[in-house]
Amino acid sequence: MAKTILAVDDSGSLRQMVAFSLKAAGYQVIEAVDGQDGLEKAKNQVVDLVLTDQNMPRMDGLTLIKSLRALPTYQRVPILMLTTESSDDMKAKGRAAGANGWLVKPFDPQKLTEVVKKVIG
Amino acid sequence: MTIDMSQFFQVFFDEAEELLAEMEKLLLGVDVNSPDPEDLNAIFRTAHSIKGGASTFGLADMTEVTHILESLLDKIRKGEMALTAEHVDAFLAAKDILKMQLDGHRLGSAVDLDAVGDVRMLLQSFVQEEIKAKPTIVADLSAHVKTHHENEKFHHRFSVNFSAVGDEDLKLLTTELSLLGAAKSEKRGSDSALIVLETNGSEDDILAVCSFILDVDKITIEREEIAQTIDDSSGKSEEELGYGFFQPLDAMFPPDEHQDAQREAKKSRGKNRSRSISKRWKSRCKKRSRKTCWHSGIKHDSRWY
Repeated sequence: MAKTILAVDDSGSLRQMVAFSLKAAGYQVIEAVDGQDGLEKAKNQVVDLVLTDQNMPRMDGLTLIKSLRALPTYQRVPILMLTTESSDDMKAKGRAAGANGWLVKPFDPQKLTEVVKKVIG
Repeated sequence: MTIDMSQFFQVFFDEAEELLAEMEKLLLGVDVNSPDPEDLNAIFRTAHSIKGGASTFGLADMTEVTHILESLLDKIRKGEMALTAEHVDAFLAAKDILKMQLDGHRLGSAVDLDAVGDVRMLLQSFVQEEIKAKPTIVADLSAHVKTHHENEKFHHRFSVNFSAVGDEDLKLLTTELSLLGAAKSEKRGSDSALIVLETNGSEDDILAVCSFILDVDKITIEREEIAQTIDDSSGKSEEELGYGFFQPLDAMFPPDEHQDAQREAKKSRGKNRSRSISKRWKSRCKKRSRKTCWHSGIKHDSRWY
């Protein structure tokens, strides 16, 4: 059974690129337009991996990560941050929130698929 | 499998159009004397989102403009720089430039490169004015200028030599280049200077920054690579890979002892149940004189009887 990924980003074009790339690689993808939408969809269905942008309206990425880690069903689901920077400060905040790693924007579909395969196979 | 990114362009173009309209609306409505933090965050997000999409889809011209715009907006929303009416006018001009660049990509319409350059210089001038307003940022010509790049790993080291450069310009150059990485300046002679810059940027980035302050024919650049710590079995560092993990993948989620104990207990119950079932079926098979157990498919052992 195909693994499911939750992709959270307020950019429609980026979500579309991520969804297209990962579906082409054999994954199922659920899209969310911001952190709040992502949290609601995560509660409806436990996924195998969460990819989340950071700067979003309604609920940002760090808040989403913390909220997911507060759910019993998301204690062991990998969460990766999609970020435009890889500073130590960003990494520290992400790690403290409960993220497992990061992927720096811009990234191409090949790199995205490579990272996802490393994490969930 | 190679994916053609141009299939996503139309969605980005529509999205950028909406974001620019939102940016304009927010800028026109912002109270310069007492800006709402939520409005400032929203304006920042529009620039940030356009930059993200432009860089993802390879639109370098829009990426450059939104990069400077985003940096200024980030300072303003964090309270590091006060918003002024001049800022708002400049941001609206930047919005117009981005719209022109967007139409250039989408419709093939002409892009006035002089106008683009003028707006970039205008935005850069706000950065420089901020530096001039806070001279303590660069107090010593030989001192390192610390930025948020402090803990960042860099790949390249450039020796940037300047001829015919005054003290004031050298201060500005040092601070501007610090936006690209870690910069250390050193005066050489009455009007020459050297800045050693560690960065992940390119020689073109350096020239682009310096050209606002000094003629490029007064600048020479030498480059060397910096050895990187290898963090990945592929031989590349995290910075080169563009991704990383906080723990090794196989240790990301350590075994859950409670769950493992439950699993073991369940397995054990299962085995015992199988043994007792086997005894029952053997007994039934014996009664029915079957030669082969229809439950397990195992041929009967004569010892059963």
